[in-house]
Amino acid sequence: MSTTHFGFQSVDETEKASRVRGVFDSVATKYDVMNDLMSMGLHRAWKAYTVMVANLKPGQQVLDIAGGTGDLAMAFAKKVGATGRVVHTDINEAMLRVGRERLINHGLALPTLVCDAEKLPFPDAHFDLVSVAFGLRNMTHKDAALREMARVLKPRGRLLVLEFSKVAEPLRKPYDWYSFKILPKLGQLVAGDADSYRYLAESIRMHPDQKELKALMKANGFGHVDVHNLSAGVVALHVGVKC
Amino acid sequence: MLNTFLKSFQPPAWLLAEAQQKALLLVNHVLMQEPEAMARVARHQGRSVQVVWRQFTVPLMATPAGLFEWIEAPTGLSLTPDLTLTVVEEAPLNLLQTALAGEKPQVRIEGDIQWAAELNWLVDHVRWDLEEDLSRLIGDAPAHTLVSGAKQLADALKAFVARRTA
Repeated sequence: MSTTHFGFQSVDETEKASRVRGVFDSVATKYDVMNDLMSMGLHRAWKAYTVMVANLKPGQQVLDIAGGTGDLAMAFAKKVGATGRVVHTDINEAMLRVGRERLINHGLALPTLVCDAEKLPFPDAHFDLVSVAFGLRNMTHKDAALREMARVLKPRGRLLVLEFSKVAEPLRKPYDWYSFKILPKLGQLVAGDADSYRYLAESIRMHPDQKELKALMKANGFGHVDVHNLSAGVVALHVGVKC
Repeated sequence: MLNTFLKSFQPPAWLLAEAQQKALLLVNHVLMQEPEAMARVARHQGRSVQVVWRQFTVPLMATPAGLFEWIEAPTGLSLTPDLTLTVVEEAPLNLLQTALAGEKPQVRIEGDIQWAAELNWLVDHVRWDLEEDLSRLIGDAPAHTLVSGAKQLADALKAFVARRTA
C-alpha cells in the first residue's frame, strides 16, 4: 500500500484526495475573504502578475486547472476574447460552484467541469496555455498531473504553476511563526475551521521548493522552465514550455 | 572612492542569486519577443556559456525552447563551459559610463567561436521593446509618453558623460 503526505501526516494514497476535498468543502464559501486576509491582499498581485506573464492573445485556448473561485479564468477570458476559450475546471465541486456563480455574476459563461488533473478529459495538443494556481500542492501524483498538462498542451505551449514555495532565508522564522501560530487562529475566527488552515501551512512545507518543482517539470514534458519568485519566495510562478 | 566601495561590496548569497535569476528572466523575456532569436538559440540547445565579471560567475545553458537556463553544477564539481565571456572592466562606474556612451564593454572570449558568433548576433539584433511591455500595463499612450521621456533623459545623460570624458 503506497502512502503520501497530507500536511505533516502520512496517509494512504487513496485517502488524500478525499481529505483534500474535505478541506475545500469546508472553506469554499469563505475562500476569497480568507485569501485576502491571509495574504493581506497580495494574492491579487500574484495573480495579476501571472496574467501578465501569460500574455494571452485573442483566440487562444486556455485550460485553468484547480480554478476554484475563478480569479484567473475571469482574467484570462477577458484576454482571449470571444474567439478564444477558457475552460474552468476543479476537482472540487463546491469550489467550482462558487466560481461558476461568480463568473456568471460578472457576465461570463465559461465551460466549467469537475475533473481530475491526473486524468484530463481533453485531446492531445489542444491548449495554448494551461494554468494551475495554488492547486498542484494538493495533487497526489504531481508527476502524473504534470505529464497530463504537457499532453494537452500544443508544442511550445506553456504551463503556468502559481504555488506557495520556499521563502528567502531572512524571512523564514517570521514566516513560520505567522503560518503556524496566526494562520490557524485566523481560520478559526473567520471560517470556523482551524484544521484546514493548519493543513495549508503544513502542505506548503511539504511541497517541492523552487528547484525541486523545476526539476519535476523538466522530467515530465517541459524542456524549459523559468522560475519567478514573488514576495521573496512566499510564492513562485513556474513557467514551463512544452518542448 | 565609490568605485572602491562598489568593488568591495559583497551582497548576501540569497540576494545575489535572486538578482541573477531576475536578470535571466529579463533576458528570456526579451528573447521571447524575437522568434528569430529563439530559433538561433534553440539550434545550440545543450551548449553552455559562462559570463564572468569580477567574482561573479553566471553559468547558462541554451534550452530546446531557445531560451537560457541557469546551470546548477553538482556540489564539488566545476563546470567546463563551451564558451566563457569575461567582462574585462572591473569598475562598476566605468562600465556604466561605457553603457551610457552607447558602447559595448570590452569582453574576453574563450571557447566555441560559432557559439560566440551566434551570441554576438543576439547582442547586435535583439532589443527590449519596453514600450510594448509598458503598454500592456498602462495603455499605449502613457507607455509612449513614458518611454519617450526616458529616452530624452538617457540622451541627456549620454551627452553629459561625453562632455565630461572629452
